[in-house]
Amino acid sequence: MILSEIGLSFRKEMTEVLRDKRTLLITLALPALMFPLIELIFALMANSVAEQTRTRITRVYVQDPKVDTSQATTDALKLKSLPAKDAKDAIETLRTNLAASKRIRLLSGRTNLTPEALILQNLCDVVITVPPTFSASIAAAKPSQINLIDNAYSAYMIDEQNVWDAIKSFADAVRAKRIAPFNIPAEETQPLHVSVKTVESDGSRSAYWAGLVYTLLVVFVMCLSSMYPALDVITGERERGTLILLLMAPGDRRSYVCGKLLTVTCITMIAALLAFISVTATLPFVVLKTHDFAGSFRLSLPFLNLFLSGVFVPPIAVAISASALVISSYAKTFQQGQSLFAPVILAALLLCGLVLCSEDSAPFVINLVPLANLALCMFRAIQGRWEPIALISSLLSSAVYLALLIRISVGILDREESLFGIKQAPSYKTSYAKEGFVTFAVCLAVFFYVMPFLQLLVPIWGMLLAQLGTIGLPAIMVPKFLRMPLKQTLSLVRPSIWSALGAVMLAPALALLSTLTTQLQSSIMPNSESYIKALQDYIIPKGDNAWTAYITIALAPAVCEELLFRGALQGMLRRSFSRPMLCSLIAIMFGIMHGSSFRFLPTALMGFGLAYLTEITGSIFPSMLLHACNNALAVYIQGKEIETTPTVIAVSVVMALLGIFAIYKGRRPDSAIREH
Amino acid sequence: MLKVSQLSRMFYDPNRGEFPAVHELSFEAHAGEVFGLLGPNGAGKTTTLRMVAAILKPSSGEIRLDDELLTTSSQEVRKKIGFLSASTGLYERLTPREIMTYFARLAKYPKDKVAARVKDIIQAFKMEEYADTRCEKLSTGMLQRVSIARASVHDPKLLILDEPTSGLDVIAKQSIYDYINKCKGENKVIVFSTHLMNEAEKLCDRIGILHKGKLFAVGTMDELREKTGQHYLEDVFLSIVKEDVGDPV
Repeated sequence: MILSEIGLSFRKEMTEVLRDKRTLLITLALPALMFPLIELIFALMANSVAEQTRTRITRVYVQDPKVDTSQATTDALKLKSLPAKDAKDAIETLRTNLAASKRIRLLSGRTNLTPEALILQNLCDVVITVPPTFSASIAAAKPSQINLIDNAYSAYMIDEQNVWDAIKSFADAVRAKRIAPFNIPAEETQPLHVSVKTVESDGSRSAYWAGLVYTLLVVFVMCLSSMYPALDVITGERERGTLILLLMAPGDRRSYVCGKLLTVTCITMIAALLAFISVTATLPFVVLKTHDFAGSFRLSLPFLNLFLSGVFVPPIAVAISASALVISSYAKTFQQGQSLFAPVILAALLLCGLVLCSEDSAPFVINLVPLANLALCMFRAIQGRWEPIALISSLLSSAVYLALLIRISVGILDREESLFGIKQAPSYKTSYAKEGFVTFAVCLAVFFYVMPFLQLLVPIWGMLLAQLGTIGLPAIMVPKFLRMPLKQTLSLVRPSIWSALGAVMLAPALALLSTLTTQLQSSIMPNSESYIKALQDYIIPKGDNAWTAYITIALAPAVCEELLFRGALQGMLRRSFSRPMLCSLIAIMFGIMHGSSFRFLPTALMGFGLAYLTEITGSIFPSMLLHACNNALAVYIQGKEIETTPTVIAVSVVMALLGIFAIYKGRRPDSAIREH
Repeated sequence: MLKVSQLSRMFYDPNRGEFPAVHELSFEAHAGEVFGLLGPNGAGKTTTLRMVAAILKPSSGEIRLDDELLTTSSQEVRKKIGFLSASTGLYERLTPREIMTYFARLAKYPKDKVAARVKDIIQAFKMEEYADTRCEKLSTGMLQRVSIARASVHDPKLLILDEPTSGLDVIAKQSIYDYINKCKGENKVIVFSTHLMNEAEKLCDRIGILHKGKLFAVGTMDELREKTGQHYLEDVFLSIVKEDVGDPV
């Protein structure tokens, strides 16, 4: 790449884009529209908070008073004739009063955690502690004190009135006990002092909200404002017929793409800056006008942190702009580009929103997820948290993605079908073995990084999403990208009735074989009961509706895994290996994908059988059917092992023999399978 | 000199399968000569010219410009090519001067000479009045002039014109004819495609008759007349593309 070429392309694109009224309108008008949008979001949030307040149960923990055993206290107690146990009785009164309220849940038990830790870890909403000198204070008729600890967030999230009512009753009880021996009028006694300590300040809570709002705002504004410039500089060139001229020029095409990227980045950064100013100017006003926040939550924006977090704006802008350029490279027209952008913007916002909201439980791998990693860094920076390792890994991985996106963009522009609308013939290359192994490695890595995170967020549906996104989608996209004939590669051929019937009849035998293999394996390499139990729970989570389990555990894996293993991978490797070798390789890959040494052997054996079934029937559908039946059986017996009684074995073997007969009756000739 | 040897390009259609859009095409075009590719719509003219312009990869065959192999990846040779077709456009929000400066710089024309070259071109094409007006405000004829100026701003040795007069009025067409004759005088190699017989007859020194991706005849107007025994190019063309007349050259 040459800097002068990048500069030339940048100057030309910038001149053109800044003369486009539509881009200017979106870039300048959007920040102005942010105000009502933010107001709307806050109003919705306020309503939601109010609703939660009406229904929320406040969790209160009353810490037992530590008994002061010093001689002085003992003497004082004796002197004033107030037994120490009376103080404990008073605490019990407090507990009784608190427990009487339907909207308070009194927490019991002992803990080593400090009250602050209890609040911050969200184990309770309010902690009441009684100081060690409490009894002595009562005995000496001195002002006695208890401490109430909450945080700024819970201060408006919970209804504290019940807590205060309980404390008032408690104070009356203490007073009554204290004055009883002395016949002192109630009005002459010292009142009980309640010291309120807020663990989490308005500042830190404001920083949390500011982090959330500003980060999502930056991502949203940048996604939206990158759309028109990106479409203009790529799709617009194609529509105007100038792209051919650009690609004819004797320069490095990466330089032109970089120049375009720089332009889109600049525009998105200007838009983000204007949005930032607009929101900062209007946010305090919106918060004050929202009555549910007024009085209970004082907004105090962390201006220094907001300013410093600006360092993440350029990398986020570059990441979004580069993605926008890739989308624009695919789009043949403006209209097509706009329809491609809408789901991508939603997906980006959803991803960032999920990551920011579950920030505490986000695994380290999230630092390698494009855009989400930078958004997370910005979110933390606004709260004054700088994590160097996360920062470095996010920036490095983003640089890799950027290089990749530029390469993809140049590659798409270079493709004749995108430039001239020429359809490319399917590729009949002799070997796709290398591509097959790379596809497997990438799918494996992505599956193991993405699935735990998705399952953490949404247990069952996360598994389904991971299956579809990291196994099913690549199975179709990779052969399509390699221009392989899709139907032949994935063996999407209608099977004979015999093959389908045979596949269903093999299911019990396959499940039995899996059980026997597991038993054999356990006798050689035993695993702990707890591990097996955890694995069974992981594979088949309890407590979900049966249909959900059948869809996510039986149907989706059968379709997605078969498309990838017996479809795409087997199709890619078919021309490079003999049938036994091919089935063995597929079996090993299938075993590895199941990610456990305990499951490797049974799944690999199953993988071999399914691969062989696809080879002899010439269709992926019998193996899909067999896979689905096998998994459905596992769901039906709740992941437990099949009983290996003689009857079960005999029935399974007879069915298997009939199934094999049916499959052989319906098989396709070898030559027909190999030819495609 | 431009030398095209055994040039073929396969296309794919889901219904028809693979088929040759251009099949083993060979011809030469010399400096100071206008070589015309004449053929009906779908004959393969545009595909041939795109391959000659090094923006479409041939399935087989080679193209040489002054003995230098012309491939899609060769950057040096691209400096020597000027390309104009009816489908190539202009940047609407830029002025003719900005467009020409941009393309001259893209084609690596010496940086210090770009301004002077653009000025000369503006004068040569009589564009002084609207050189600094945005293209979106120019008429079709003006835009056509700007397009021609854009194609020649970097002083290319090979000029490829793919049906450049398509959709133009008589006056705009004339400006293109004038420009082609001017380039011819400057000893450039000009490859010109058209489906208009009178245009080919008027401009081309030699004509290649292309039909269904195959080159049926190449020669001067007199040679083609002699070969077919017809006087008018239209008749020459029809007699050549008839299936029973000769094999492709």
